[in-house]
Amino acid sequence: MKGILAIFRREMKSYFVSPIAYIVIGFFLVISGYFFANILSILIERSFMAQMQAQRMGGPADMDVPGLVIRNFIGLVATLLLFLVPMMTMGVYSEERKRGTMEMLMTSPLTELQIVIGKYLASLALFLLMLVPTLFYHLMVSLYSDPAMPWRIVGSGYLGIVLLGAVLIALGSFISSLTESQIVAGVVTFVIFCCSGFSTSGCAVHRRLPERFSSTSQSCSIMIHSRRG
Amino acid sequence: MIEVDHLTKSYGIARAVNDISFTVRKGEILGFLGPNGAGKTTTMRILTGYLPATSGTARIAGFDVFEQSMEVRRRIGYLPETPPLYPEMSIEDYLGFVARIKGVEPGNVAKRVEEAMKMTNLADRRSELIKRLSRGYKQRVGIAQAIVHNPDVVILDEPTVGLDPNQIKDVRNLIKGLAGEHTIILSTHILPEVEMTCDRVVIINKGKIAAIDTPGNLTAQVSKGERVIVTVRGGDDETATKLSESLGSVEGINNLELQPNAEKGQLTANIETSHGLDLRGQIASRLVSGGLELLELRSVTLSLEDIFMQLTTQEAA
Repeated sequence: MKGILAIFRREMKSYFVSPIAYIVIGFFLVISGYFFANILSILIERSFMAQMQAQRMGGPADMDVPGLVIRNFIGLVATLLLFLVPMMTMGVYSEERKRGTMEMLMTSPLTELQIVIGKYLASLALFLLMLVPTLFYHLMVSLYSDPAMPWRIVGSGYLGIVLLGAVLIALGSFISSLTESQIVAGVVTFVIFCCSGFSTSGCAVHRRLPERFSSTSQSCSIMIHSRRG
Repeated sequence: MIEVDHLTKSYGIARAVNDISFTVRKGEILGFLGPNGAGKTTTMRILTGYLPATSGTARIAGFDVFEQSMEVRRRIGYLPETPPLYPEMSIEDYLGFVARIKGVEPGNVAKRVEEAMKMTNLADRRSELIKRLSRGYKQRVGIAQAIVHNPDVVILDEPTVGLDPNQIKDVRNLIKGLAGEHTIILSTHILPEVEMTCDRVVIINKGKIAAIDTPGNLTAQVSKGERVIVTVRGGDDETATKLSESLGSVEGINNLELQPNAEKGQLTANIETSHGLDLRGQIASRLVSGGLELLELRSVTLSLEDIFMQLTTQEAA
């Protein structure tokens, strides 16, 4: 446990000493904030129209605004993760290998599992740090929302995104352990994320693949699973 | 303290380390000497538990390096060829981190870090970032890292490589200071280093042990005779024949090697004589009476360097 903590602390420190953490978090918050506002204003407009239509035609306006907001927002975050997670994980093991510090870690009385868990938890913590400020968006909306904000929907959306992030980080860390070069790790991770991320049934690649392959690659698609929820 | 028994490591069909055995006593400094690619690093990596051996065993403080790796790892400090540093950390932070992962009790970390910095003369630059340090300082941090948890055994892979002469002297003194309390294995391909710092030397070549003894014994053992070098005026063939002729009748000369230098008009002869004979006087008088102009005559004892050359080239021949 002490070993895991030592690794975790060093990883966190190195994230925040280098510009990586600030770039990733800053970029994420700017883009997600901008698009959250956009999604919100578009949906408000649409629900307004729907309401007007309903009044004219009679019958209730049938629109799940919170559901739509969350679904769109989570989709956006998922897309951003495809770009940001490779940046977070590309150096996790490749840098250790390049600097020769892997040799030190492997000859210290730590098990491989302790090293891996320590590093994984650090990446996950950075990811959570990045995600937590976005809860503020929903808090703001809930102040003005009528009827009251359905937190269950927000919660399940966030649960999904945390799990998605956890999967991507694990995958990215694994790829980082295969090479000594951060760049190679980052690019390969990104490509693999894209292949697994955007290979939805409507995707051009899928339509060209024979039936058998397409179903296999679709079940590998992380994004499809994350959208079905 | 360290027992290595018939250790072999193969990469595919290539044998990096081939059936080596040696022991190191507590408090001893063992030098691991060999040309590049001789298997020094591989042996060290096996001892530290970084690589598994193909066959054979190695025990440190009674623990098998493979079977009881964790026990072994707690007891060794290891400086790989490139010091394993995190450039973005300060010296103090870095050593603290290493102490923690090496299993130093949290309450003792600060004390151990302080001690390691004191021993390696880093205390006054404790808060400096490692990336801003010079090579010599980085090497010192590397050594501090290896001793921060006060291990029984310290394994140093080429600790002085890339340092300037002053830094090399510092590092050597540091290593000598560590002996006694710690058992040390260090590898190098620099010969004077071994002569200066080590109690015993293992000469390793192509994965095999070529010799193992104290530096003094090795010198005595391998130099089967003395060596005399003479230089006479005249770089032509005539001088050469004259020289060989006049020395031909001297008893005790085992080998005569001539190196004419036409440019300077000189001839240098490398004379190997039987052990325990001082033939300098005889050689001098023969040469002079043979009508040669003697410019220089000196005797040399074989250095570790010659022994090393002999051992490592014999192998190849």
